[in-house]
Amino acid sequence: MTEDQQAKTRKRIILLGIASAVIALLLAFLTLGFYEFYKLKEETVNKLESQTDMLIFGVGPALMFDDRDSADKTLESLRSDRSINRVRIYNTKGQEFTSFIALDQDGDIHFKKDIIYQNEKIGRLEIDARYVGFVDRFRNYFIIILIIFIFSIPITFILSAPLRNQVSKAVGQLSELTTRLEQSNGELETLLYIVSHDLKEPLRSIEYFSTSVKEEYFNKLDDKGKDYFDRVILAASRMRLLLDDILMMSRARRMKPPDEMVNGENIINDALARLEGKIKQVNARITIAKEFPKYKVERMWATQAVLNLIANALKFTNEGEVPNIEICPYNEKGQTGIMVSDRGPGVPPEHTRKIFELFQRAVERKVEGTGAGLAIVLEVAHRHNGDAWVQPREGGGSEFIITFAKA
Amino acid sequence: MDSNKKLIKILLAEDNDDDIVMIQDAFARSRIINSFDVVKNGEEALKFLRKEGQYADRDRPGLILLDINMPKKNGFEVLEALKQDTRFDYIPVIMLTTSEREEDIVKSYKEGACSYITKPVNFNNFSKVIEQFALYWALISKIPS
Repeated sequence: MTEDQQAKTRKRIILLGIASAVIALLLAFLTLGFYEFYKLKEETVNKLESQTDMLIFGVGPALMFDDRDSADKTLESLRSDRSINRVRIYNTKGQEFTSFIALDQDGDIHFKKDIIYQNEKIGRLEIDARYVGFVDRFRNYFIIILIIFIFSIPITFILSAPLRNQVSKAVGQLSELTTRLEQSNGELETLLYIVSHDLKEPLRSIEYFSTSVKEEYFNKLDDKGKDYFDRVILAASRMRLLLDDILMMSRARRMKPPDEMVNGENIINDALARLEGKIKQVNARITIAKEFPKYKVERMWATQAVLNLIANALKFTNEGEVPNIEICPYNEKGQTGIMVSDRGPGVPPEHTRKIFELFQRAVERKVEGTGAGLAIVLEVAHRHNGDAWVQPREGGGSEFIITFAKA
Repeated sequence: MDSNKKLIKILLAEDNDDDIVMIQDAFARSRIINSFDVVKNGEEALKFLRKEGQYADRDRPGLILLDINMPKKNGFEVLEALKQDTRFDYIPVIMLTTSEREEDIVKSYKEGACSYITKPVNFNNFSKVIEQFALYWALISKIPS
């Protein structure tokens, strides 16, 4: 795989070198061609002008004395010039006096001149000519360019060798690193899953047997022993929460891609249904917007993310206040999603990023939870090509937003 | 109620010591009179049923609890072997596992298990499940004696 890529890169650099040589040569070829063409044009025009003057000098008297033979003879001298198609000579009445035709075609250049003899206009001369010799000159250039091109291939090859080696080495290293990174990411996820899943078995034993002791043998312990024992039970239940969160995180990382168009209202209602007990317990007031768009989501995880946001809003309130939560669609900056707003204490600016990291919490431990809820929200958002963040709310509180990629 | 209670002999094939204690405790709490024989791997389970070696004088159980993940012959292999032996193919078998994989569940029923219990990872649920399960087998379901 890696060597294959390196070979490909090497080949690409050579092709690139040759392609740039070809382009440079082609440009040179075209420039020279245009230059030659204009030079040829200029030369042809100059030549024709002097030829016309010569012709007028030779044909003038013949026209004057109506001596067509003499005029024809003068014109016949043009036969050796391949650039002249035809020459016509008219008298003052505009009638053709005589003509010379090598090729009966309009040429590239059409030339007219009055025939003046002894200061008197006695007729008109018209020449049709074409550019000749251009192809020959072009062919020469073509051959030269071709030779340069042939020589440029080995030169390109030799000069690009160090670059080729460097780049292909770098590409090789990069692809190797990427492969290794993917591998270790995969291993990490597997490890995460195994750790969180398999650690639950011994934990179940700890919980079971410590609770059994608490129920049946607790009285045999003195106060200190009881305190220690309660700490064991508390630590075990905290460990369970942590493992549940790690397990959920590892599952979120392996979720299948979004595949369903679901109305935002359905997602919110599903989340609220699962939080019903808690909502009643804290007597929360929840307002939901009337209309939501459809989002392209993985339904289970989108619901989990919204649930986490609502649970978060239920948890953080100012002392003595009941949670007051608003849920509405978010539609700004070309993003679409769901916004959960609270009237809680708000998040200090220095914590707005931290609270979305795994097991980072902005509050002390007595607030329940492990600090994985928002990290899971962010993970779900990323798996939807969206984002999740918190911003301060006008009039106090926070706005938590999760966005999903537009369908 | 009491008249309905009868002794059920249970063979538990399970390699996790903690789970063995938890299961036995749960049965004890359900106040079902029972006797437990415990084996710790699949091979031993089959030896027990065939009354081989040290198990020669043991009675056959009325109910078998089979853990799926066991060393030397897993639960499925034991299930397959015992369903092919007419001496004990009638004994109800319950599969016990932490796996909730659909294919494991389907496979268990296909091979002739009559119930499939996932050990809940939460111990509270686990003991509840075992208690209810014990009651069901002792009071509601009739098994050959």
